[in-house]
Amino acid sequence: MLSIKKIMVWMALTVSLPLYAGEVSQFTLANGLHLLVKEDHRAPVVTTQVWYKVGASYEPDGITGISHMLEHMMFKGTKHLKPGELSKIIARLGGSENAFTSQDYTAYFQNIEKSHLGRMFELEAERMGQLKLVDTEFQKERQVVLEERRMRTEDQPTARFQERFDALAYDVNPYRRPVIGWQSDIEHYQLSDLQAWYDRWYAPNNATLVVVGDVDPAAVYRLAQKKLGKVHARQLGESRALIDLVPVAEKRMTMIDERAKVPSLLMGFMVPSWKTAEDKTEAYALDVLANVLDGGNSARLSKELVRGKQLLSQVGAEYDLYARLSTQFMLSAVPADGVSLAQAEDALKASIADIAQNGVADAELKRIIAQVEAAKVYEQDSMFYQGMKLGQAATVGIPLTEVDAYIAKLRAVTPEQVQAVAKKFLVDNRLTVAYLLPKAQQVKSGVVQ
Amino acid sequence: MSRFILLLLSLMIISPAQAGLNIEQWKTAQGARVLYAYAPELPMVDVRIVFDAGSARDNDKKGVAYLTNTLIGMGDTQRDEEQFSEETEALGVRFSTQSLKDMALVSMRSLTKPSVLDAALSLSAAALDKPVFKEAVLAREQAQLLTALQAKQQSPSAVANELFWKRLYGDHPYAFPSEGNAASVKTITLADIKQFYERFYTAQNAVVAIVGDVDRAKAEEIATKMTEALPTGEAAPALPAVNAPKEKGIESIAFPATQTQILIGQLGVARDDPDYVALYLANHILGGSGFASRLMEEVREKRGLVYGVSSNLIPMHQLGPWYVSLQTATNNAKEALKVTQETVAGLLKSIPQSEIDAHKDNIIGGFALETDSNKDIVGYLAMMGFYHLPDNWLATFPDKIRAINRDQLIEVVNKRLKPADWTGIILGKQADTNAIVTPIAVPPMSAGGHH
Repeated sequence: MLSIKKIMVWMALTVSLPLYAGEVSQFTLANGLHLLVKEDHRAPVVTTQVWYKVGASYEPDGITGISHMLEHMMFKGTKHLKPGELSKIIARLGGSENAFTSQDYTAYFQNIEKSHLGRMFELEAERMGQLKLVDTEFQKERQVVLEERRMRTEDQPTARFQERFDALAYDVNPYRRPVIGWQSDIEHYQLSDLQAWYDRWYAPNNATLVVVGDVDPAAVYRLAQKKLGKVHARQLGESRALIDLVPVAEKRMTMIDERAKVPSLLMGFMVPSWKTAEDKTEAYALDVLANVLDGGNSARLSKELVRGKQLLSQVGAEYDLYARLSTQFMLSAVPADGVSLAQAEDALKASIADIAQNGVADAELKRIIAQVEAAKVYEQDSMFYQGMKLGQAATVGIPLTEVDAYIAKLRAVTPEQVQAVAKKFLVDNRLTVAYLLPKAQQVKSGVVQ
Repeated sequence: MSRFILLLLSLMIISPAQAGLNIEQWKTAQGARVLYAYAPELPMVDVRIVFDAGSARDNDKKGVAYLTNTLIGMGDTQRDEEQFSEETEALGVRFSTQSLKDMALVSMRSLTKPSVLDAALSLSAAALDKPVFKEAVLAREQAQLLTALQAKQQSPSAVANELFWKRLYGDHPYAFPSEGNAASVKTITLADIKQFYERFYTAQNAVVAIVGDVDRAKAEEIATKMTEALPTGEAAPALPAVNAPKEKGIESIAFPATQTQILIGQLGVARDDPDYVALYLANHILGGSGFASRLMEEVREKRGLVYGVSSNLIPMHQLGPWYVSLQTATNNAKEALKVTQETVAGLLKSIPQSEIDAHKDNIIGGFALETDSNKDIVGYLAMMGFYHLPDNWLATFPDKIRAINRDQLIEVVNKRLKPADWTGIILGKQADTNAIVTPIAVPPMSAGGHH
């Protein structure tokens, strides 16, 4: 990280030489704003994205979801713009815009015809430096966020299940909190909480501006200097080391839900991400392992458990290589009719044990490489997605050279390494198992008295 | 968490091509219609074959269209389903199927290097043209579909959506969900699947859309290879016309959820409707453009009653729906419904020139974004071919929007928007279940009025 930062400072002092592979140009403005530009001349459009290094995993208890609430308020007025005016300006120019918050970042974007790039920079500069938080707007928007929570979580049995799973599985680790926040926290935010959160994290020296589209990087750099260079850098709050405890015992829960209609199983193993792995090859091996299990229709879980033994109706495996903190290697399943959750759990465990004992085949790794190589071409069909990848890496702190080397890193993973991470990390003391049971089935199967 | 969920209904989002998008059309020897656009920037190709074989073609066995479509890629005369998955995925090829009300889609995305593309084509062509439907595979997919149908019942929005279409369309084929229902899915046999496939998966009933780094000659080869083993067959007959809904007003349905789902609307437009462009603009103003729309302004921005509210104008073979959907906390339902109804009716009272101009600017200015990816373009090509739209439909869309003046817009809105006829459902824990809420009537606005 440090050496990369030095390079970026050097870049800002010189001019616009692309940092690597001739693909992405990197700059740093005098106020600390990090700028990434990727040319894509297929259409006369541009995606512009501002990424802040703040998200739910930065939040203390009591104000969970404050990053997301602030994201909503970023459309609700600044020194020079009335509430909603920013959206109207962009709409009038034919642009589409939105924002999103995750555990690791908060980002704002516009997709628009390229001649309006300067105007987008002006708008982002305005809300980066001069947000005006107004209580009447806040009170209404709090209700909107509560509706959002009801829609996304309260009325979705599987989402409520996932939320409680995370709380249990992450234990004391920061990802235990829902991105949207607990309802009672949302109900009790103060305007001053939002102001403090904004003051603490919204500064050019805590942001990355990503531009992908029909542009010239040097011109984008000059434009950014002109429009965003005047936003003052701020002293950022001290970043403290975060809790990253390895669990010591298996955890289990059974959630009975009268609104659920089908049972559901979640299993997660606490594992390092690329960021937290001491040995980075282990992170890549975990990524390959997730693909061996669920990288397509021919991958093991679908082939063996959905089609072969027909124990599961749906199945998935997931690993977030680029998470900022240690993460869950997730397995999820809906059992086939007549199959119990315990049987589904056993079946998934048997699939893992098979890999731990017998390893994986070369053909499986070859298939994964073919898929990621093709995906690298396919993803260039979306400017927005290309921007997402850059912004996420820069915000989480993954060097772009590392992201660029992704395929090479996967290629280097051996069957033995995949087997080794299965043995090392997919073990009981790192495991959380959760059952979701519809009320009717709970009565039928007598799970709970 | 996003500030507003992006609407990704490809049937709904309409706007046109970037400069230089050149669409070529022809027919294969068997009669499949082909639309092609050359996009050499990336070494990849998208191929989409669309059949007039959506659930609107279901007979009494609802779900047969969906299951037939699902089984494409699960075994053919040359490979079983395991070999097919292994071989396509070993090439990095993406093969998928999708079943809607009007359309059945089969899509393939591949790299264009010959060693990959030629294999991808023969794999996909065999899967599509020479399927072997097997009892065991059908039984498994039926079981999975039954589980999925059960899971759908835990989603208030899915339940509400299904009930709304039923109420709006009565006995018309559009009334039924594309995945069928539990009772009907259980009765579907292998013979039903074969019969459906043989009738509707034919060259004359197919449209092929191709976008990517392949020249015209290669595109012709792709179109031919993908469809040459299909029987010539014939195009599906016209669907029955849609009758006005029998049930007006809003039916209240009890459902255990913290939010109440509200879906209200009327019949909208068919794809070839001469009023379509004007209604597209009207809907954009009403609730089809996110934060720029009246509904978002009134229901969310001013009152904080919802996270999402939108109006949707979905053009289909026959009259598609024009409806508003929202969800709000139980206690807000009454107010949200009232504000929504007033906002819908308000479109008949006044549409200021300034508002029209702002929306035209948004649609025309956003034109380039609609076709900035191969994925977008192949979707448009497939849609245009399927609905028999002219070659220049996409390219001239901004001009057509530009050409609508205020008087024309008001005339079309007065003619087509009928809030007094709106029908719908309100689903949730609200106390007055089974009540019917009376729609509100509004006199039409005059084109020359002051605003």
